[in-house]
Amino acid sequence: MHQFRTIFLGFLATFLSAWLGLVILPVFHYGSEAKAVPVPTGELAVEEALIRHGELVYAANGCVYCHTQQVRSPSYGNDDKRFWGDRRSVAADYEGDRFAFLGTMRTGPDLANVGQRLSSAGWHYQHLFEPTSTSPGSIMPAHRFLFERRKVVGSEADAEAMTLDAEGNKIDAEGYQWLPSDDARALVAYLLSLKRTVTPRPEAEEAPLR
Amino acid sequence: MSNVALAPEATDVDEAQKLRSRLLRAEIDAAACNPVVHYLASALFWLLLGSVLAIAASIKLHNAAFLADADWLTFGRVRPAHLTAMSYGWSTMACIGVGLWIMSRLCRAPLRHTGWLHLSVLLFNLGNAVGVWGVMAGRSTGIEWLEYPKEAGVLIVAGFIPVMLAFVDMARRRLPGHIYVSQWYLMASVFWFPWLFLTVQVLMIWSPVAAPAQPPMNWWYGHNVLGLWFTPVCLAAAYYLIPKVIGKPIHSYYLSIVGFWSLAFFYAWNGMHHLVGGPYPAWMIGLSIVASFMMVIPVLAVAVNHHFTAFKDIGLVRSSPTFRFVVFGTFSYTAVSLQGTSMAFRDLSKITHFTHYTIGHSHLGMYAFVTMILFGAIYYMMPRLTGREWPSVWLIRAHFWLCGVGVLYYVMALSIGGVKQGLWLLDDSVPFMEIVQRLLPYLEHRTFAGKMMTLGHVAFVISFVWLLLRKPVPKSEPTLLAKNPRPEPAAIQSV
Repeated sequence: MHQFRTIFLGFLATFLSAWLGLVILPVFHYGSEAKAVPVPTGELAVEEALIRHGELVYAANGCVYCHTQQVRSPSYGNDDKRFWGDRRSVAADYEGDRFAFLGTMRTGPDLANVGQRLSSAGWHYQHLFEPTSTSPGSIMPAHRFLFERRKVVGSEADAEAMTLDAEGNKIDAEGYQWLPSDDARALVAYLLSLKRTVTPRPEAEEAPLR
Repeated sequence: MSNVALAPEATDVDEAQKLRSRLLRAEIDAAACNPVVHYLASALFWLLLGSVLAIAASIKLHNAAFLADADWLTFGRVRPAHLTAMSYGWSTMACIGVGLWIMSRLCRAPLRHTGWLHLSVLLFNLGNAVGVWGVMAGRSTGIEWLEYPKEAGVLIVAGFIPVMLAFVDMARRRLPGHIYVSQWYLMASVFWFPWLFLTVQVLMIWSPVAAPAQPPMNWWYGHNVLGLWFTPVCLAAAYYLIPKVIGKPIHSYYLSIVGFWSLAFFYAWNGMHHLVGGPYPAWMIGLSIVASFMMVIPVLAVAVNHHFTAFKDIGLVRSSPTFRFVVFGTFSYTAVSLQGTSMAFRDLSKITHFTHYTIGHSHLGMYAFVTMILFGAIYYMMPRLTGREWPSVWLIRAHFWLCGVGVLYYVMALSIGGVKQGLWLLDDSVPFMEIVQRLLPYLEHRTFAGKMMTLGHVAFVISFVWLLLRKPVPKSEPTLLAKNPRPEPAAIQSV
């Protein structure tokens, strides 16, 4: 070969073909489906805004590096036996999200249906605050930075205050309690919204991949 | 001893021609010195920072209380800060430095307008600083390989423009003759990378498309940035350096053509194998599995070429630092590519897909292949660019053994741990928390391996800085690791 031009056209053409197939085609295919999702109004819109804020907290703190959000077919793995979902995930399960956090690693359990499996906000706050307090043996980092340390007014801690030790104390020696911040509230709203395989989808009913 | 490689600048016809070539090489190296050293020195800064972040992230996975109080040091921020600092700071900037010099040598066209390249280094450094800072300050996008916030992406795109222009300029000014395979790889990769990066920046970060369409492009990018950016640059470096060091031509010219075109054709379709078992239609994933299998063709073509050429004089691994690192890298390329193909198959993927095995695989690629070849290239380039020799054999030895053994240890720990993790995950009699606990020893081994590699990086950076602080010595002897029966062509050919 003595000419760059031939090589140049060749490597741009090979690249273009995959770009069209794996990037542009899905954009048109899934983009047109997404338009059909109704935009929430009223109180639902407020909740939706909180969930979308929580999605950003999920992104910013890298939850995706340890948790997947995709259920594999019962014929491929045993996600159903770990109670992570009743059916396999399909692309439409992620409509309306800003980003589909499918994840690549299961250092922690799958979260595609965590809102259905663990539906108590209090549990999630306590788990984020001190993971081993709800899940002994966990190596998830404590997310204390998502909580605010505040002086207790009166003698009782607020109902939502975190439990600080095995005795169930909610007030520390200096008379302070820990309350969820706005970011924590948004994150928990997002987690509770994750019920991805609850809606039946015809495409999930298809014959499994193998 | 003749210095014949397929590389056109190495063809010597007669003494006068030889002298002209030598003067031209001196001119090329002098023109490239400042911008290339600027890229490499910056890259090494990011390598050190990335190593520290890596160790922090690794410790956190077996000791959750380690540095857990500050939000900016939480695992979910330190890990992407490590990955992005390594990919856009260390690897990308080192690939640009190495690529510019090799392209300039092969086109026999000295770099011009180097002020723009210095500007590019500044933009890259600023982009990485803003990016790492942004990730740690809580503005990560959470998209794997693309965690940097928007403005860091803009700076990196801007920083790449002078690089592309410099490559086009060199290609246009090249002296007539044959185009060597390294030039193909380099020329293609400097177009592929901006196309890849700009596509995902625009469609996922600047103006995100519908969520279901994003994971395919995420992995189209995440896979291709390895295979169509880091890989071609490092293959180009190996194709250039192996014949240079041993003074013999590449094994087969035709095989190098097969290798290039089959890589270009098949690699771009590989990305969806990251979503095997995932929520996408079977045709998309199936296509990527087929393309992953077809990758055996370019990999074997390159493997035969690199290994057969290297084995013409394999004894040089004892003496030549460049050759030792590059041969390590080419063997890792063969290994990681065949491993990658096997991981695309459903039966293995079912076990390894969501486990540490994948992390081991990525380090076999990005470290044992890419980083080791970049180290080898830097060992070759610096004496030629600066007229200064490497100051200490011991530092080079420490660098090689700490990084070489470290990365193999790393990959072994995570591969064994990963396969076990995968088998336990598939066995529903093992409770999830039990798996978390059983994995801790493997993660502790990983931290130890990471510390070894980091120590190796410190040795290399000391070597690099020490070299720059030395006075240039004309016509000095190359720094070799052992007495060489057939000495390498004098390192400072340019003077």
